[in-house]
Amino acid sequence: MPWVIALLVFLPAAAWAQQDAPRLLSDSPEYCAELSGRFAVLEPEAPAHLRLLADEGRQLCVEGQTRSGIAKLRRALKEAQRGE
Amino acid sequence: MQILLVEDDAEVARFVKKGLQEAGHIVEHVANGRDGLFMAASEPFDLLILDRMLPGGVDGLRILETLRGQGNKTPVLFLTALGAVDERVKGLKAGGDDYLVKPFAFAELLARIEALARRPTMEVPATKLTVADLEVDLLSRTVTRGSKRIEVQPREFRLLEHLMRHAGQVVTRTMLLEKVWDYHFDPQTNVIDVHVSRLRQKVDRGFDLPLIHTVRNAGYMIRADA
Amino acid sequence: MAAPAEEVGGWRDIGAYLKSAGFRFAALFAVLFLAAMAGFALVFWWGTAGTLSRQIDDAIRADAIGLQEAWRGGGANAMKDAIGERLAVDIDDHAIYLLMDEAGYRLAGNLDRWPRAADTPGSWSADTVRRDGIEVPARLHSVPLEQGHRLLVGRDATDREKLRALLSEALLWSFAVAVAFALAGAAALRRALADRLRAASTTAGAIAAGDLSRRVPLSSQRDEFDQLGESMNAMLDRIDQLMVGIKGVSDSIAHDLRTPIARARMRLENALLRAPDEESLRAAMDTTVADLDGISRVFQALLRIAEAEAGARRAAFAPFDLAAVLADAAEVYSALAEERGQHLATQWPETLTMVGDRDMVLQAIANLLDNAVKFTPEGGTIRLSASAPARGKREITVSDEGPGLAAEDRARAGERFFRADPSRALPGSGLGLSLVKAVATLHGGELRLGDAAPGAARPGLEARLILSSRA
Repeated sequence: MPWVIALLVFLPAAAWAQQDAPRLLSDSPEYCAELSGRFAVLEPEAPAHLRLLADEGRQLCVEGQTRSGIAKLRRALKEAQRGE
Repeated sequence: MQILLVEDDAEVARFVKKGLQEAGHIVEHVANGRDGLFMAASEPFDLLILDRMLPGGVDGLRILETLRGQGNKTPVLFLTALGAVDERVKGLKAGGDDYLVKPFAFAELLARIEALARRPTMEVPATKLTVADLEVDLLSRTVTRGSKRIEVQPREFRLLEHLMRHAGQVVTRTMLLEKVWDYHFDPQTNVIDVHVSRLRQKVDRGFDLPLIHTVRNAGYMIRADA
Repeated sequence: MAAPAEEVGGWRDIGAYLKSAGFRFAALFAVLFLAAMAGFALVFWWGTAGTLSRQIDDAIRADAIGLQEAWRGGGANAMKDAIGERLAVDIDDHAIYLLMDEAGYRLAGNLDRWPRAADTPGSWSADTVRRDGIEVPARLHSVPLEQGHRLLVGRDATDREKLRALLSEALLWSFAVAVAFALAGAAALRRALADRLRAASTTAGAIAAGDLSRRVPLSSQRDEFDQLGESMNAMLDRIDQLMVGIKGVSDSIAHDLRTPIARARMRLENALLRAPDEESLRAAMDTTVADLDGISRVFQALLRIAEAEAGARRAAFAPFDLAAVLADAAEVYSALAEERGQHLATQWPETLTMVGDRDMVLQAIANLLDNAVKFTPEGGTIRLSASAPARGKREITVSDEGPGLAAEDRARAGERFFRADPSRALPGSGLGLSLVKAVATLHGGELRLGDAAPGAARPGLEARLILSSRA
């Protein structure tokens, strides 16, 4: 009997805690678009393999594999920046 | 003398009591420590003879310690089979005045008792000791008999002095060894006899009256009568 | 009622086991071993998970400083750009940023709201954030800015947590293994200790049970346990020696004391049955008294020898002047010597101090002089001398002009009641040299017997009593 009461107290608290956790936004399609835009700025001077990388990333984003796409775009951006 | 004898062996007690009574002393005898302590504390005695090993829970040493603790200064002679040096030292340290080991010669016991009884008077320092016409001057360390000066060696002088301080009493060989030479040892042969006979040669030879006598089975005595 | 008694015995046994030195040593070893393991684990942890934590914090700190630079340069917008650029190249996807204005409106960053744990400005905290619906741990640092703006810089701490979990599990397992090793090691140590002690303890047990011939077996290691064994063996040898001495005494008593006792008895019995008159009866009793005195003295001498051998009198040692004792002994015996036409020659330094038992030393010297006087012929010379031949040593020599002692008899001279055959007729109990030997041993020295004039027809006996001058 007592553990039922404990559970009743605990569960809502847990749910509330769940709700409260901040969410990382950098895994969304919107962010994909942002990164794509950033690369576009650097694209003209960028070497071929990086452009390929960025395109792959864009493609992955469109297909729904946001995380992988973002990762590739980020790599492309990083390499491109380094080249500057 | 009034003597208290605390001794649990009936034979020894009878022997000692008889002997001492014959020598003119009054002897009271008890056979256990408790009674002995009681009697010694409640009645005045001139001398106590205590056995060390006694029945009844109170032994000779304890009796002595209690009496001395009460301020009782009666002379005490231990008569005991406990003969080891440590035991002797224990007895004397506890306040005993003399220590005689069994088996003993009665004459020795008698001699020692009478020596103890005499002691207090001898505390008074004397400058001269005299027996008949023999005179010993303690200050000048000279011996004269009649008008004749007798030459003695230092040790012989001490021997003579001791005999004279106990004039009329038996002095045993052991007592001489202890008092004159300050040792407790047992010579295999009677070396003391030789010393005494040399002394006797000097003191008695050529005079009518022999002063130094041998007491059979006991020791020696210096005495004016024959 | 066997069962309850056994139970009680069981607890008592455990109690005894726990109190045993073996167990305690082993427990000490185990504790030290585990403490060492714990120390190792601590250092290891610090080096790995700790380092990782520090690295995360350092990265966050560097980030925060860099972003604040941007703020100083261009305010909120500059910071916003900076955050965006950093996120754009964050390949690992570990960075967490959040820039908020005073109203709580999100200006930049990849977090949707401010985590509760990081509310305190300037604080370092840990919280969980959700990534793709999964909760991940994060390390967060809140930086207060001007005009009520707030910056949050953080890192995904998943890797760190994974490493921590990995390490914890590994360390726990290794701790378990360490405990097992500690227990095994402790048991091994305890057994090794017990093994080394077994030799001594079983020997002691056997001796206590009555087998006095046992000695502790020694290994070749010559370690502390062997030293213990050696000490025990030395002690047992000494006990053996003493027991042999005791047995010797009872043998001697059986042989040499029974004779005078029997003689006394015979004389009395004879007198009772056949004495013609009172005179001869008295004479017989007189002689018997003397006999009894003699027996009494033999007992006394035996006791003194036993005392000296057992070392009981060492406690009463005191300093005294040996020269004075020699002078006294010479004086006592010179009279006797003179009587027998002998000359006693003496020589020793003016003072000769030493620590020991004065009475016993005199007794020893007296016994030697006694023998010398007994055996030297009329007109002969007895020499009594003493010196300090070396530091801490005193030597007393008595030599006579008698028949001396044959070499094979010298060894036995110290035995109680031993008399070299020719002298059986002379008085004395044969205990004289036995006591001298005992006194020598008591004073840490020895008795050496030799010829006074080697090669002569009557070589005479030279007895050298060597004593230690110190206690």
